[in-house]
Amino acid sequence: MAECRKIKKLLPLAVYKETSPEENRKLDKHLASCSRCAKVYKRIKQTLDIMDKRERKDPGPEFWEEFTPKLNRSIQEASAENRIAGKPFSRKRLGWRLFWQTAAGAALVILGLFLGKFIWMPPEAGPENSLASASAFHASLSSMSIQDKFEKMHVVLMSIMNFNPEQEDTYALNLIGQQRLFKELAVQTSEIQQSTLASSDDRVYRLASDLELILRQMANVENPQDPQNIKMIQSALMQKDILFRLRLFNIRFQRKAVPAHTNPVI
Amino acid sequence: MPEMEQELVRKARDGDRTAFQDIVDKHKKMVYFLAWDFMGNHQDAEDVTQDVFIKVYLRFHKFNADAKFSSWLYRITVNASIDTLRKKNRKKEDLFEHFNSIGDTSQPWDGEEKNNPDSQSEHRAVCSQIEQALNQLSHRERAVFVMRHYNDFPLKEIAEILRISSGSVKSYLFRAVQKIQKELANYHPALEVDHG
Repeated sequence: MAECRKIKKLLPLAVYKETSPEENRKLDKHLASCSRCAKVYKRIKQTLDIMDKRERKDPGPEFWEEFTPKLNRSIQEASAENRIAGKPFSRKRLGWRLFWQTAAGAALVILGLFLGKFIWMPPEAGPENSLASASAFHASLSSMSIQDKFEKMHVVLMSIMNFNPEQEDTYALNLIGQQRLFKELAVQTSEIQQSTLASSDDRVYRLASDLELILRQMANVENPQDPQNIKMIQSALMQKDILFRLRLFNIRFQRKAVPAHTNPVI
Repeated sequence: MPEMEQELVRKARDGDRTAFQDIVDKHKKMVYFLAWDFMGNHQDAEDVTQDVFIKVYLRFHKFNADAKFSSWLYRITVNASIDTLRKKNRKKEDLFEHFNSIGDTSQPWDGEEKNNPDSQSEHRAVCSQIEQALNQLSHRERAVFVMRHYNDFPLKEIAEILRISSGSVKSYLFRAVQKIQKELANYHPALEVDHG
């Protein structure tokens, strides 16, 4: 029986001719003497014969002729989305882009601080003053720090997106324990919305604003472990294309790629 | 990677549009069919194929020129297909779409069984069973199965594409075949899995 178990593991591989010569010898010898395993082998072959009946057809020359022009149009649109015109990113261009973006961002922040301090600075300290300083702090968030925050949110949201409440135990996610984190992240999105970058880039502002809405929902939902609530969150993430937009943000600000574990396969 | 292809990839990576077009022309069918095997219908396969080449274009700067381009391309294809599958599952439309997409949606059924109606309806039933069986697989099992069964990728190459060990690929394939057999046995009792 132990031998049968070992042999059965090899059977699908044998059908695909992915067994070594040594394994083949073992298989031949065993199948010749074990009618039960021989039957199992036959059934696997029959199963895969049925799977062969799945037909895929070439969509035809017209489709392929239209494919490339259509792709070019899509690339142009995607390039425009990524603020590049007609040419893929090169490391050199990205380096200069990063340099100028950082320099421009830093100049804006310095200018903002200067104006705030020497022109409009209210002389007395008080709640309004602390609000202003909070705004100045938020405005000074660099694109790097925004990206760090977005990356963190991306990882958290991916774990929720990858979760299948129908097949996995919802308590494994421990969403109740995570609600405090969601609150913190929601506060961060609110800070991002007040940043200089968001005020100059509507897409960053809208992304942060959509994220805040979803994170607040996650933070305040009564029973976050309820599969229906998880599905609702997943649906909101899908509807707003949040993960895709976070990835786009990453591409635009071309730092390291999204962490490998956020990828479904890699 | 052959030298010519490597040169083509290098040029495309540096922004040469003609080289990029050549790469698209060379690989588009393979990407399309791999996507079709995942999705099971033309429309989704087309969307995934477009998506894959857009991603390749936008991410070319991240591609390591010493790596195997086709593995990178197929990895993007697998991931894009899984993302699309996941979106479809989330929207809970797959059941209906699957129903509509049995066979090829580019040639919709016109309501008549023209040649040999019995064999055509039997074929439709088998196609439906096959989709049903594939739907039992996890994304990784599905990836391994469609790459090995429908695209003849050697297990070693699948491991490289998915960045997992050969042993894991073998396990996924074993589990995939078992699940498919179990599902098909609902319609073909002679295939019943031996649990002994």
